[in-house]
Amino acid sequence: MASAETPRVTSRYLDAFTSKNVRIVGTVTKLMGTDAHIDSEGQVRILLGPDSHLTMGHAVEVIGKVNHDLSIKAFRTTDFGDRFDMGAHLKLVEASHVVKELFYTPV
Amino acid sequence: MANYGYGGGYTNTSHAGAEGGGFMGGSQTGSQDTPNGQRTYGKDTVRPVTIKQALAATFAHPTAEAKIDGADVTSLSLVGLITKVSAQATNTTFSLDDGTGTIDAKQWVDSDAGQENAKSMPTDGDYVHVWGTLKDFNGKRHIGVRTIRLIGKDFNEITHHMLEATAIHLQFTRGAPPTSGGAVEGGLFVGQTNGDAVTNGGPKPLPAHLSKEQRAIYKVLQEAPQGNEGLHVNRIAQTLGIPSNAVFGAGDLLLQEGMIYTTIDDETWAVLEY
Repeated sequence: MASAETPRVTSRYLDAFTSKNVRIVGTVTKLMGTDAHIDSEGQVRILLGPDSHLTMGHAVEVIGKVNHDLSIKAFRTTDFGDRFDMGAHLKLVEASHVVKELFYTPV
Repeated sequence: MANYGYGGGYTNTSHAGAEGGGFMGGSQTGSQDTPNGQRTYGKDTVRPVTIKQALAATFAHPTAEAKIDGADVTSLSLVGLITKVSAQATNTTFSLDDGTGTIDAKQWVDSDAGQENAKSMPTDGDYVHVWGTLKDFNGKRHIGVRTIRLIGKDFNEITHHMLEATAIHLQFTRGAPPTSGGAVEGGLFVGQTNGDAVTNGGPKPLPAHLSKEQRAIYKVLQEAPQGNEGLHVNRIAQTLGIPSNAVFGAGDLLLQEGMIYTTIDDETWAVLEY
């Protein structure tokens, strides 16, 4: 079951999760074909699949794998709209790494 | 859910049973036993959980109710991204993923419902909020769905749910946060909302890292009628109904932090008032 876990991260956590599957929420800041950038406590490059539809300025949740250059290959994206509270979400990310037992199994 | 009922217990012994508040229905003195004594209404609360918690829940025996953090969970709620939908003759199974694990949620088909209902079903890629009961069938966990609702507009619901699950887990494992006493009448921390100075009088909030036992020990020491010499460890153990060595273990940190001190011997403690 552990393989089904996708820890919640922001750009600050990517180092610790290379080659792992994660979920990250950020605001879309750049969009060029299948190459996108989101702001999640810093810019993160997202390599999109053909099925992903992102909107500039919207929050998006990306589930994907962290590459060695700290870009993320997206498996799945969900548009969270333009009314997503990023501050509250950052608190959740923080909490999820403190109260790990509820969120993921550290390796 | 609003009244965690913790703060009042420090100074007023008549509130002694209030610790733990609404979630721990089983331990409340006011639990409403039905004549056969098996069920209490207090337990029938909906507990928000992460999927990882649902997968880690324990069943005493196959037909028993699930336990999470040692508390019975009759109903639970969770949020998740649907990764698969499989419609069968009798039920629809949604595979849910909330980032902490994956679990199936089964909704029985209501044969009386019209066909238009089936069309408005959430599909692959949707986020949903699910309420139901945790089932263990041949060792495989699933959720028996009572209600499933699409999260379509306001995705803050996901953030809120996960944070609420975390807060409640922490309540069960570490006790209620001291600052949540605001709901208690004459609350000790009212000053935080209306700006009055409250530094005089009321007890200081306990440090957040204390365990439930440590809070309980501190409270017993604070409330028990005692002379200058404090209370013996065995008395504390007796009052709380836990083994003496557990009191020793938990008390160590309180001693280290200088919150309590030893009096006539190493096994007799009193609260260090400051």
